[in-house]
Amino acid sequence: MDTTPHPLLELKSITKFFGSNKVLDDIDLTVNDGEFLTLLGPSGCGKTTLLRLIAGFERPTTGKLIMNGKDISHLPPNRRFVNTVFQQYALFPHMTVFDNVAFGLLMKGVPKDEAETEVFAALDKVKMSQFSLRYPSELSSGQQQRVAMARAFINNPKILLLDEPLSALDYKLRQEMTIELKELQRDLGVTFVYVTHDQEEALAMSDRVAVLNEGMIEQVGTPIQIYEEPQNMFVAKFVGEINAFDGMVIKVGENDFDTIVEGMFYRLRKPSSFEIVRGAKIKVLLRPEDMLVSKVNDPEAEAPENALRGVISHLVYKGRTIDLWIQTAGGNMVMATQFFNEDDPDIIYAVNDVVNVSWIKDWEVILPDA
Amino acid sequence: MRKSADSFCRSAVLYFIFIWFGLMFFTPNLLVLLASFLTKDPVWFLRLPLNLQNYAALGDGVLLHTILKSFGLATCTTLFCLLFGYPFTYFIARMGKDARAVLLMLIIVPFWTNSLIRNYALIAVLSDNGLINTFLLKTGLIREPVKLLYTNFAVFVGMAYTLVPFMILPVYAVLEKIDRSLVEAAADLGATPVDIFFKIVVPLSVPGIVAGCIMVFLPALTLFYVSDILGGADVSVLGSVIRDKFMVSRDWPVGAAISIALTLFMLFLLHLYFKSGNTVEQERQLW
Repeated sequence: MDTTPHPLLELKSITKFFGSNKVLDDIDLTVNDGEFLTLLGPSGCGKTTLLRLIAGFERPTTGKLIMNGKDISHLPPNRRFVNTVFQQYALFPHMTVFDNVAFGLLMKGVPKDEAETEVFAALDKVKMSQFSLRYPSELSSGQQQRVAMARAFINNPKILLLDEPLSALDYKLRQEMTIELKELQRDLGVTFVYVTHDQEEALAMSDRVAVLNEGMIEQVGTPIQIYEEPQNMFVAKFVGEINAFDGMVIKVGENDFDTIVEGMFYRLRKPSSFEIVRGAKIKVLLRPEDMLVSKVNDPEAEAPENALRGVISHLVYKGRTIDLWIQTAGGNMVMATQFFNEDDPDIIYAVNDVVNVSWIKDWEVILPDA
Repeated sequence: MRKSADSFCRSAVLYFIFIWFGLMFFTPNLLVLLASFLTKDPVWFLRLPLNLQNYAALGDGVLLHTILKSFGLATCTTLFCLLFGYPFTYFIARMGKDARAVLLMLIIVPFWTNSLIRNYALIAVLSDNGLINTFLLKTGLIREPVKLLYTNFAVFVGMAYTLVPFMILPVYAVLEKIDRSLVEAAADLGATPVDIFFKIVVPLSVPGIVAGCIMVFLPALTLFYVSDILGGADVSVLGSVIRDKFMVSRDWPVGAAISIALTLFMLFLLHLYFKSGNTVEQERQLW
């Protein structure tokens, strides 16, 4: 299988103003053919505007959209080869499920009998065939969501745009639909551009994630890159939980450098993303699940090398894991997620337990302290 | 405590509305219904015995002729108001927020002048030496004034002018509420602006169209002063007949019978509309 990505849609220095309000600031982004790309960001970051620009509901103030080499920046929505699944589904309330799904085909002038076969094929894919004569108001929100999907993909778009399609569903249904959506995307082989503020959804479904903040792209990468190697503090903090320690570089070696974190001496590997200089302030970032916690039986004894001493101030039992909030001697609150291990009786923690906290070596991420 | 105060206010308001409707709408209509079954009296206007003769008067040749004429005029007025008012309103509803407010205001401002006076003003437009004839004569399009005033056409113009806001406002109320994303979804699925208008916007605004048509059609049957001011010698409006029965010939029972017949006819039209199943319901419950 050919795995080199083919650019399908290129966004080139897109800027968008609403009045004097800059919503998108010089966005460059490539959507590859067949991929599941997620635009992730907090509300108001411009992700929905970006989606609407691709759909053609908005025009860029400056910049271009190039699809398969052609400039589509100024084409109206009905002449672009993209379709949208709207956040509130926007099903036509005066039409049955069948008519809703058939709408795009009829607009294209597909003959009725041909359209009927296709509509039922599409409804089969989302398991909604038996509801073809119902009106949208007679469906649950999960069913409406499926119809909205079918109505969009039946037109064989080059790109399917999805605007937080799962946000109206309850937690359980959302989990199920996450898997179904990903399967549907593989099955259809259509490029998905998916907008969400939910990082779990983004990580679970995407081939690539673009993290947006205040109209700018903070980082584009695979879910693993976004989670394991955040390029800045925004991405680090927005995607998942993270512990951030302040550090000061005291000596720079060839492959590693020395630093003081919370009054403790650490020798860490040099990051590849930026140059470490002596005296620079840095952030040392660690995911809660990368933290190692061990109980201290004798609080008088000194903490071992590379470990911080702390007290459990809060804990949440989650079944498979336990989340600990540990107040360190340096005054920081550290979050640590511990997995239960049948062979390890040590995992029974209680508030006010004294613990040593360290982390799995080399799993830290170093960022410059801005 | 608060809760009981709330529920007291709520039931007080409800009772007030019920009593208001009872006094102002239900009772008068009941009295008219009663009158339509009584007998004419020269002194007391109404007396027993009850009879059905009044309704037989509806079959009278002259009256029937007026009824048909009035229905024709009302139908023309309603059609015109719809065909002119709907696109006009669609245009307004698509404007920016500020422009919409200004345009709606411009529609409402003439309401502040009495409609009687506005219809008198139409005389100055339609008469032999009025604005239209003067313009046509000056430009040489005609040599002699065209007779416009005191014709059925003049009554039609007066009706349409008076009633077009009653079409615009209910249609606007519905058009403005149509979810913008439905229009976008249709465009997204390949619909042209014309497709969107006829397949999405018009079907979804049917409740407004029906409300507008009812609010235009019924007054167009009964606004007698328009035909009094602008119309010719022969009566062309049903309202004039009802007015004459009550005020001139003092035949209350027949006047009441015509009124009731009119009400029943409108109820019948409404019934047809609801039976067609094309109601607001589906739209309302979507989310």
